[in-house]
Amino acid sequence: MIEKSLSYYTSWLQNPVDRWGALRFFSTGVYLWFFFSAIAVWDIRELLWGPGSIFMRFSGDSSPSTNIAYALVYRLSIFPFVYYPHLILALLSAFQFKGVFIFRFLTWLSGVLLFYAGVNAFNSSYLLMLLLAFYCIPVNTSTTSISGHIFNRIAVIAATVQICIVYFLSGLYKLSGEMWINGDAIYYTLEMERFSREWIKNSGMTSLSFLMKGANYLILAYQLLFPIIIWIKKYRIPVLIVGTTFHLITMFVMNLWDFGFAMLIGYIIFLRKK
Amino acid sequence: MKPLHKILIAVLSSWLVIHLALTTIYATDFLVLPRPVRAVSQGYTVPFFHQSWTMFAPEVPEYDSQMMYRYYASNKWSEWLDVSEANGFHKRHRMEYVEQNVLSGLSRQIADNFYYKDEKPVFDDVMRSFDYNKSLYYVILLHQSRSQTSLGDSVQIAVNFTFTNVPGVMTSERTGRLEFPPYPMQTASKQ
Repeated sequence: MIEKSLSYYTSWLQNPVDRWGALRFFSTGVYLWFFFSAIAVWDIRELLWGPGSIFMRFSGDSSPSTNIAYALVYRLSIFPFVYYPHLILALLSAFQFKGVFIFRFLTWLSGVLLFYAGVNAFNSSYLLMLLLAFYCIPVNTSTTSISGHIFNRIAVIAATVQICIVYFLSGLYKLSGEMWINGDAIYYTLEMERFSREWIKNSGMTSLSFLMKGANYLILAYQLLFPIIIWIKKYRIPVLIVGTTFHLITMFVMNLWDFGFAMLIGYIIFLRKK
Repeated sequence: MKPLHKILIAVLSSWLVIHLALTTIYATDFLVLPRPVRAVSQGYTVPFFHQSWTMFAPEVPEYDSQMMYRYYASNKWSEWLDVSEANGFHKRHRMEYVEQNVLSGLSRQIADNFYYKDEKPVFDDVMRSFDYNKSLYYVILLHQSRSQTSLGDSVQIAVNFTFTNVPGVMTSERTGRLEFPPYPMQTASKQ
């Protein structure tokens, strides 16, 4: 039984990915997200990372890996050598050509540096995209070599499992408080100025208890069940439609554009040819 | 199957399993696990694979908050100013998001370490915290880089709170303000 499963797994890994263009679009989307994320803060780039940065510096342990990741935190004068190359590298990484994996690796690395030096300007979507960008480094959908197929398959497994982990853990953390269990989390979120719109507050929508509690439990159930139901063929598209609606709301209502786009890009990897 | 492909599959599959296991252990800090397991997962995950999936969890704040500041120049205090707005950033600008992230740390400090003794507010613990100093630094640097006017002798920060009504209970808006003691700018220039 184990031998049979292993044999199936190894032969499956050596076949080309069966997702129609999904992996290609996904990896393109991941690196373009970094490009647009960096462009979105163009007018405040000097304030975030420049020598006169508004962020108080902090330090980590003295390990070599921390020294690399915190290089921009420790030395703001290197900002132009990180930010501008990051923009160009992210744009180039969206394409597929020989040696692109070097550009992708550097996009990921410069992304890590920018994240730590400007941590208060970002949310967890940046962390998710860093992980996905790391998984996509070796992706090459036009490859004909078996090694290339193996790398592609591993990237697909890593990215899909990662997205499932994000949803599940996010749901679990919500269960550890009272607000989500009581069904009041969406009400409080939409009553907050930073995550709401004036017309939402004025519409009286937040006073509709069944709507607020319904949305609360729907989101909770969605996050906890996503890792299971996304693998059931007949539910995959409905699940992705519900998720897309939810993330469009986070973008247009809650102003979390980077987060919404990150999750929508993540959904591409779950699409399959009919 | 070629030996090279066998090795590649073995190495990549093993790495993937270990990577996902260690990063997931790191991200689930609510699980009680042996200390060596935590140390290994932390050592592997930080800093390159650091992750935190606690957005809007476990609780959503039950209030809105705004960081305000004023400064003492030419022998008088300025008006109280909204940090982002006074420096040219509208409510939906990324800088408002930055301000809220800086402020969330300060709000946590206020909730945990601010108290009254003999009916007088005690700020000591909050003012010693990284979060308070980070907020002050943010205000000073933002003002100095965006405003034409000098901060003068002192700067003072405050947090405006607007508490959200309990669901289904309509009351008038409850607001509050916590003003920190003025911070002398000579201290900032010495540092």
